[in-house]
Amino acid sequence: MIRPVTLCFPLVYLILTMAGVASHAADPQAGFQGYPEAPAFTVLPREAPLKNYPCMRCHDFLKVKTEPRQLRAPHPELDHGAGRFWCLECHDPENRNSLRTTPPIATNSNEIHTLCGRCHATQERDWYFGAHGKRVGLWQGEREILDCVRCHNPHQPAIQPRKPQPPPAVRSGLERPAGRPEPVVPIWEQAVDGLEQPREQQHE
Amino acid sequence: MVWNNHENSNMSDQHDVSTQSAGTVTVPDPHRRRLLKQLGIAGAAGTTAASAPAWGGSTLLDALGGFFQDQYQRMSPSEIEAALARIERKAKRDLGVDIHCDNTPPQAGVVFGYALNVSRCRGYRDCVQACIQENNHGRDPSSTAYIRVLELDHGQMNLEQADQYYDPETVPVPGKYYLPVQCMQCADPPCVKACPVEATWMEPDGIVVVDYDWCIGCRYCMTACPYWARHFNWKQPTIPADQVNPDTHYLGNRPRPVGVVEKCHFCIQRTRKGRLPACAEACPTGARVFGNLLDPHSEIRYVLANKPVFQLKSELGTEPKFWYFTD
Amino acid sequence: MLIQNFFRDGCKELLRGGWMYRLWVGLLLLMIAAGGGFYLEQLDQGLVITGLSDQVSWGYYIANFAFLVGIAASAVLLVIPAYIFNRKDIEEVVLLGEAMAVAAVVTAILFVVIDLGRPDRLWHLIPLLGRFHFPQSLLAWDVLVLSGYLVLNCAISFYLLFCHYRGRSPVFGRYFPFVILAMFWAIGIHTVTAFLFSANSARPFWHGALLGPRFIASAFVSGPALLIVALQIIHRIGHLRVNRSVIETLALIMTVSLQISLFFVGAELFTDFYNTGSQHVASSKYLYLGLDGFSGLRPWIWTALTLNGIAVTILMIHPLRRNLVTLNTACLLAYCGVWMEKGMALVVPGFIPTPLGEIFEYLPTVSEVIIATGCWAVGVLLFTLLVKAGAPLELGRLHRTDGEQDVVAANGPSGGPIPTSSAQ
Ligand code: SF4
Ligand code: SF4
Repeated sequence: MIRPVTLCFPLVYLILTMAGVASHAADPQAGFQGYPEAPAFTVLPREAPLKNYPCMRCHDFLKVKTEPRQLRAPHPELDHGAGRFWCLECHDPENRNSLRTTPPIATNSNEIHTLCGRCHATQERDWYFGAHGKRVGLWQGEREILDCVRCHNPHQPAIQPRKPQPPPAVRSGLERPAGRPEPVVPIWEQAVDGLEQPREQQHE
Repeated sequence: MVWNNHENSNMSDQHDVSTQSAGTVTVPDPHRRRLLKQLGIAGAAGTTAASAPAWGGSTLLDALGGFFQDQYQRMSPSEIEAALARIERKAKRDLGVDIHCDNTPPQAGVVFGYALNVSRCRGYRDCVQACIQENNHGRDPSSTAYIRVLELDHGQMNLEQADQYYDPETVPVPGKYYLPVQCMQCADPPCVKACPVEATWMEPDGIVVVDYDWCIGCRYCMTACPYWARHFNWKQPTIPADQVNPDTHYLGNRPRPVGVVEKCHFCIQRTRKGRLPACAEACPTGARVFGNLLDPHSEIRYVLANKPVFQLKSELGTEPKFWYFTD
Repeated sequence: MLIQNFFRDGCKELLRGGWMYRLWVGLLLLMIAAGGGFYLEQLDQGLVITGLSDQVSWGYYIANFAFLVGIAASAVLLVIPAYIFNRKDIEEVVLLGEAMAVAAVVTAILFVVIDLGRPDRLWHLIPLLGRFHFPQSLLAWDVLVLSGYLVLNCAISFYLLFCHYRGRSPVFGRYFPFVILAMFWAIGIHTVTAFLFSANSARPFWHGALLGPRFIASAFVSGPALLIVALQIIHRIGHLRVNRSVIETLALIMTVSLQISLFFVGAELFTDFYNTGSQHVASSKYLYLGLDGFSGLRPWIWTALTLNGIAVTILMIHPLRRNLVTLNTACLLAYCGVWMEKGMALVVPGFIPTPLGEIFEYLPTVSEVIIATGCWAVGVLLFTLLVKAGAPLELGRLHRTDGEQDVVAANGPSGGPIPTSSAQ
């Protein structure tokens, strides 16, 4: 039987090569080992309580159905991967309490990124080094960073639009004139009009 | 890089012999000091009458002490102590709040830098709000907010087309992107050059600060700043007592008087103690990366080395220590 | 003490005068009082009583400042012909130029002071006592050159007048070096003031090499315009005999300067508008054409250019320039034109749009205008008083008296039409 870890070896190798750290993956069998040269960090795991956990409370008795279908309550709506995903892409079919590459979810392991990183490898790398994700507390000393799922709901990872905070004020006693400058017609739309009216706006 | 000079400067006696950004060292001049003292005594009678409006009804002694207070970089440790105490008393009198105003010195081997991921910013303005609260801006509403988030059309980099007053139901608006602008803490700051009284200078950790007790309010620095980062207190800012942030720094978020200029100081009261600036902490998308530019393992250095970055108006040669990057 | 007597006699002279003089001084004092009253309010409330904002952080005050420095600098136009070209006719009135310079510098400094957010901290500018950021800050330069110019002009005028008072002729070697210095200094104050603006790479509208020359050229229009009118008034009131040739020389200088000044404006317009993409253009567009529906200064600048255009036409036609009525009209037009162009139309567009591209217009408030008018009144009053006390000294009507003997008016009043003599 081929072990899943062997299956993902080419992927991991590819990731590591892309990241330029292939030399560190001395033992390909060991799989993804993180980025050793990334500054050390601790991950602040999720805070929000899990609603339906443990999954196996129900799924122990239910048959594993691999083909996608309409999800019903209490499951969250799934909007991840533009329709390509189904629960078992991430959840371990054998033990739903765990994800495919992580220990049981509720142990608040700091390894969720290994799962996300299987697809979002660039983001994961940036997260290791601090260009993605969020550091909290101190810029100095111990590096505490947030887990992927602290910001992204894994079932609907896109961050939702919302009302912005109020706009800035002008000096008290002064009014900002109503109305906005004329919107600029983008160059591509000018091109559609056959560039009949040359516009004055230019790129800086 | 200009700021590398400061690595070796002795931080412990920073306030005995003040170190300036340009690397020059000013030794306090005893003669001048004596002169000031004499003036203080002679001027006491003359200034009493005039003091009331300008100092907001402070006690005579505090008013005099404030009037003759020296520039921050030139004050002796004891003079700074006295100044800090005056600030705390004034806050108690004017705002009814017990604040703590400190004077945390810069850390050796640290120069702060900031990077902002334009592709992550969604225009929520949470940073703006956090800054207003952290930095004791007037709440009535004040125009001094340090961060301005510009909304721009896709395909545009012309700031003249930007809108900082956008207020739609939800952001991001399709077809727009967002560009927050605040003080860039320029390594070659035109505002510092402009100031006629050296009320603004670059600290050894790269933060361009204003001594609100030394600024004469000429607003030349506002004219000189290419990022519109400096704001003026056109009137006395007011803050409800329960909204005052009591943890303050002399060069940072202490309550400001009327008639002086202020600007973003990378939350000096927090960052000198190792904490992240309020805007970085508040950003819900993690678009803001803050850290020590001199530390090769810092996040910001990673961004600078591995991401496509740009500086706003870098052609002006101000060498901003604030970068924008994209994923 | 001779010096004490000098000042005492001078002050006594100030107190004398007809009802016209008293009315004039009273009117000015009234304006100063009004300005002072509103300034007290500004001190109390802060600059919130003005129309200024973070977007347009300098306005009417600084506009008048820039203009007045030009007036001060143009005193050199009397000094150079008087002392370098030995024009005796001009030397007779050169002290009027000095008086104008002194009054204009004082007013200019006053405008900076009222623009400050914290005038109580003015002492921070005093070298050693405060912290004078020299030579980096252009504003520090400006403070230095303006106060230097003030001192120089006061000293020269004082020396010359005091010599007259003592009845001695001034020692050439004692004052001439300072006259030369003051000459260069005059160009210096206005150049530095221009650099104050053009130093800002953040403000493309000002950031050009032409601003300095433009300042000087327009100063040499507004200064002579003011002088021509003032000299005639002084002549008519009968303080001082003014030769027609002086006026003609000034009118000629003014003509040439106005032509150059307009040429500079044209050159700027070309550079701005030929390349629509330049950064400079946004501000210029706002000024001349209006930007995004905002055009507060458009009528202002076109009025200024029209005034200057009419003035230069009058001045270029010889008979009209020689006719005092048309000449005075031209002076008035050019003076207003330059005041509008070099004042508000130069300062304000530098801030529109802001470096972040925001268009936020500026309109001075009533309080701001009243305060500024008060400052102007201070300048005019100072000039009046200096001339009032200076003219009799200059003419020798007021001189050293022995003991209790009173001041005697020696010469009769001049008055009457301005005598024509061989000019040039
Ligand atoms: S951004 Fe403006 S205020 Fe900040 S350092 Fe640069 S010039 Fe100064
Ligand atoms: S407003 Fe204050 S900080 Fe700015 S240039 Fe003037 S004195 Fe300096």
